[in-house]
Amino acid sequence: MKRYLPYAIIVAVFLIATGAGVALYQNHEEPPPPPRTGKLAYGKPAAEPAHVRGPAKAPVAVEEFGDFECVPCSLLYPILKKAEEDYGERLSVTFREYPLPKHTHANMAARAAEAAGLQGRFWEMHDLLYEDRLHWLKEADTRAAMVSYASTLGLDKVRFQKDLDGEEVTQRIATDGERVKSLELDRTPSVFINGDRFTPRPITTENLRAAIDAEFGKSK
Amino acid sequence: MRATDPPPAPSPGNLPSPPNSRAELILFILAALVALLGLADSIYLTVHHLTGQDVDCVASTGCETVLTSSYSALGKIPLAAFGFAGYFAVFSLATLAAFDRRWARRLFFVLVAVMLAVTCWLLYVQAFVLHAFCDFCLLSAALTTILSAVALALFIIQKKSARPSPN
Repeated sequence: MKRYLPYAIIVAVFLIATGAGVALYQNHEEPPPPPRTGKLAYGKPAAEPAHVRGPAKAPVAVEEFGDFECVPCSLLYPILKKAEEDYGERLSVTFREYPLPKHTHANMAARAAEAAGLQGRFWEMHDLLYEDRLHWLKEADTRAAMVSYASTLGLDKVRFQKDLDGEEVTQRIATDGERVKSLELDRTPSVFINGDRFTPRPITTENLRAAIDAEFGKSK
Repeated sequence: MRATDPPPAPSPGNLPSPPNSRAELILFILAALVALLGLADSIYLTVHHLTGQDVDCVASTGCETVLTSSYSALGKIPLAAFGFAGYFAVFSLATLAAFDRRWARRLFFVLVAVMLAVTCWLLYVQAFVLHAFCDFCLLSAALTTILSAVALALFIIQKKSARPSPN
């Protein structure tokens, strides 16, 4: 009997370990997809005017809730940008602020993007923040880094600094936050395509293209 | 061979293995318990990788950076799944060695050495490439370090017991 005991122990541990893994996998909470009621039509409204790249009447609308510090968001950035180039006028991308509280620099980066937006340069700051992400994350003074980006983009520096602490920026981020809450989002990036939650993770060029193409197929 | 023939002399490879000393037994049980902790850690990380859920760090802020980096998977297989295989193998070998299987003892040493090397490389990646640390990866590194210390202690005991006595 003792001869087989170690093997029995090993098999038992293997079964328990794989069983625990499967149970954990099956019990993970995936938020239920919200009911589809049309393009970006459900949930509380976000800050207006929204940051939209592409025509408002594009047949496929992508809505991203992003955080400039989050790694998956920075990985999504070039994928979305490529999609915008490839689909041209047939695709619009809307960015909403969702700076996660656990990311210590994300709120300042969101404020910088919104402050740039008040001077009509949101997307330039958005792109710069993702492209130079590893640089500003290492800066001891995030605010100073944001001001330096404002200079790089040729913004009115005095106004930018004022807006960075201003009520309008705070209000825009809070309003986007209300929409985040109403949609029960819990992670970044959260992406919707024509109002449908896009759930594959990680988001790749292939699975994003497949979802966008599927929307074109529906509209035919 | 006839029933009356004398039994063949044992060859060196056929020698009956001496049972574990009490210290060795305790060390193998300790190694198995540590491997079980590593198993739990790697299951948690594998499931979170596969479901895409965020992993909340307690002590560090770099979990997301580390666990979503290109170093977190080999192809489509999460690195944590290899950790699962490694810790399960260590657990199995430590259990078999505790039950006096000598061959398992040798494999145990080799596997722990490989895991220590991989751990050192992953620590290097976290410190110098990603500039971020993840609690669960550091826990795994600590467990592998403990396993290495246990393996070293066993190796020393084995060397001492193999040394011929002066008489």
